[in-house]
Amino acid sequence: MLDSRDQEAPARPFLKLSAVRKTYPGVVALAGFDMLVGPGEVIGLVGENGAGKSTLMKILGGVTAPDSGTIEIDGAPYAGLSVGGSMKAGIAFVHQELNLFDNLDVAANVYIGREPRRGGVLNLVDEKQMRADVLPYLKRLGANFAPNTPVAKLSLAQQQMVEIAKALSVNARLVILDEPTSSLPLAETDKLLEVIAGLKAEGIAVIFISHRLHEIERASDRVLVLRDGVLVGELAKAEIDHDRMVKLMIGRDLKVAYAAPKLGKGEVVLAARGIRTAAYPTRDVGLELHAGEILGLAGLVGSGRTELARVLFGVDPLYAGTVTLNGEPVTLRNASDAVERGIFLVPEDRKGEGILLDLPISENISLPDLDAYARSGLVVPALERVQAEQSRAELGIKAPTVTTRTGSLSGGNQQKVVLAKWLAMQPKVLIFDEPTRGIDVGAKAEIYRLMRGLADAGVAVLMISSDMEEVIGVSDRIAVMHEGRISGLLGRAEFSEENVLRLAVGKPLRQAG
Amino acid sequence: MTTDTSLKDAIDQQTHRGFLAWLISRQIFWILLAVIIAIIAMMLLTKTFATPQNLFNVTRNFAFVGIVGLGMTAVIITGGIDLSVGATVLISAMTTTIIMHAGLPITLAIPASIAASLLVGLINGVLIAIVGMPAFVVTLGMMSIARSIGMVMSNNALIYEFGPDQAILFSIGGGSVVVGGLPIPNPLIVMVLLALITGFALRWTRWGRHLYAIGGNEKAAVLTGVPVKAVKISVYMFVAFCAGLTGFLQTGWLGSVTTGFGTGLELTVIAATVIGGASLAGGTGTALGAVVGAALIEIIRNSLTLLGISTFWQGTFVGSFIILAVASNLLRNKDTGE
Repeated sequence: MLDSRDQEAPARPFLKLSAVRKTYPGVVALAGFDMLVGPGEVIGLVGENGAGKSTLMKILGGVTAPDSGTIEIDGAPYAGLSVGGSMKAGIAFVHQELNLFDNLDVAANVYIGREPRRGGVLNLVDEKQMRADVLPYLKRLGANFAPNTPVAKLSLAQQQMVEIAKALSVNARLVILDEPTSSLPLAETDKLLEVIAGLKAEGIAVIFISHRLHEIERASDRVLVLRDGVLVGELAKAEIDHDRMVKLMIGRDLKVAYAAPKLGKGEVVLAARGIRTAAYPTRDVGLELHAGEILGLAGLVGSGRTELARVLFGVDPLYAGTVTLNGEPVTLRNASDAVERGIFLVPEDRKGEGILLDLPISENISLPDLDAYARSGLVVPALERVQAEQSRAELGIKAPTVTTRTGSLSGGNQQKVVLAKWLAMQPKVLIFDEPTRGIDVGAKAEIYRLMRGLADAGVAVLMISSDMEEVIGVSDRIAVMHEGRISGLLGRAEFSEENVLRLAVGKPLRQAG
Repeated sequence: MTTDTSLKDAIDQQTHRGFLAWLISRQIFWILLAVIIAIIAMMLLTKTFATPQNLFNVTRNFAFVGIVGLGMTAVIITGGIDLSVGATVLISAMTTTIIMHAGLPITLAIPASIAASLLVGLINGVLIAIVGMPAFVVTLGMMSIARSIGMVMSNNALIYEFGPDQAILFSIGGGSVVVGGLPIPNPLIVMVLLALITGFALRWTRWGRHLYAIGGNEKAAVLTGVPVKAVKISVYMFVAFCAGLTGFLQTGWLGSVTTGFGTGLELTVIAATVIGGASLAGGTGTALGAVVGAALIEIIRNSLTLLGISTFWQGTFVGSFIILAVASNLLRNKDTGE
């Protein structure tokens, strides 16, 4: 491994970390970390939540100083960086949650705080100059939007490009992308990977942090694996491999991630016919969901998947069509109607829509079904805690007590709380919208295991996912949506990335043979 | 940093936080302390404070703010606001007046005044919950509309004749029940009962839980099957009910109704709930907080009067308490790292 790196490493690395150590009270976040980043090198950085990635990022961003160790940028040593120093040295960040002003246009976002001025008494902002200045950066990134487009109108991938344009405009030498693809749809991910390749070609180094190992595999020249603050593995280009990374990340093999179904496909539980949603009011969409199966719903963002799920859950109005549950037509005017009938949704935006961060675990679980925890109209907290204890044991929710504030849990455990509240109510249909977004590998495997367990217990599971690995690994069948319609249904034998992608962009499947 | 340690820290925090630490972390504890200190100070400084007559006045006055404050707390817990409560008090008082002045019985005036108030709340609730307008704007508009309608109803006359049931009206609003030799004003009894019911409902019922859920995260509440629209309408009707009750009681106490009835009450009430620990961002607030906040405001007002300090200073004191209460809350939360 070392040999190959020595050959590839350029004469002088842009960034060199030696024996960087950082401890917080009671925990070693980074235990003597070494890293070399050469110009134009794309480094994949992987590790579970809590492995030390964020501490490393904070050190590079100048937010926290290391306890010991040295940082060298272009050969100049630093004991610790300041936020301004890090920027001046050419390190730029693109965070998972983008720091853009939705209400301003692209150019204003790129030049915020350092706008070109016209001079004179008023010294007004020179908007024309600003837009002209930003254009070359957009061109370099292959962007397809104008400098005066409001950021609110851009897709997520385009917004990321604005952030990257901002990095280019300050002459960044190293761009750090933190979970850039976790909320990107398939096609836009490709676009981002192209942008990364473009940066590389210009000699700009990239550190790419992601839970989506597949993309790490595609983009990186070298992969660093962190576990418990220690660099546990460094893989050269040829050695980058999904299973190897997982093994290093969690310290053991993870073969159980995708369990096969125990039951065959059962009866049709939920059938939607001729559904029209607000997103595509003129297109009919329908699907049948069987007991005991996990139906993957793939497609690009904007293909109408989330809208379909919201209609099936009663939160969005049904413009046309019928929904039947166990053969009976049902009217779903609001989420309470759906919940009453055993149709539940695990939403995409966990913190924003899934749980109440300020409430204890027990109260999150009881919320949809308070009557079940009440005696003569009064909620009995003891009953809530009994259920919560049971859920905690069943789902393996890691929390000190069931009255712990839900917001203090990790993402994976928060997702388990969302799941727990529905499992306590005997689901018939469970709709997952991006069930493992931003959740680390170990917790992902647990969520998959729970989903499979539900299906095996006869629940009909619909899983919306933009994560190709997940769609192919977890589903029993895959329905692909394209512009408001189901463009194809794939059985297990037909599962392939190519097939899903072709259907997602509206092309027919290639005929076999 | 790692999952294990954050778990350990959390457990440590949980176990090391004793009762005293919990008490100190409550805003209401400090406000209650301020109330008690103010009472003791006034008892030492003046001879007039601890007289039965003064206490009777103080408790009756604060009962009105407290009653509306209980409703306002429920609204604020959902992340809403109601600026129209003062005007609703006027609507209720005017309805009572017109009916009783016409010689009709009080048994009709009570349900009619409450119904008129509930109608105001219903309109607010529908516009906010169903149409989806911001509560601030809706109730700002309603504040103006309701006061104007109340004025129209008065026909610009000061009414102090309430027909055959006048004595009953006056004795309900202005009377008292003697407990252990001390006269307890009726509005105070109403407030205490309402506070117990509200406190109970907030803490132990489905409705109460739903209020906190909506204030904590409305989207999550919707996607959990909480009947958000119905609950929001109910909460604006509840605060209107409280205002209606106050309008009726206050009519009986004052013995006359003017168009200025309830003017500025909305701000006093919001101040009381905020001092009592409710957050305008929603998700927090208690019935006890509303009552204690109302008590503090009334004691400040009364103390200034008794000490011979110009009542012009009242706003400075109340305003400082609002800012201090919220600031200290912010600081304490920073300490615990949240």
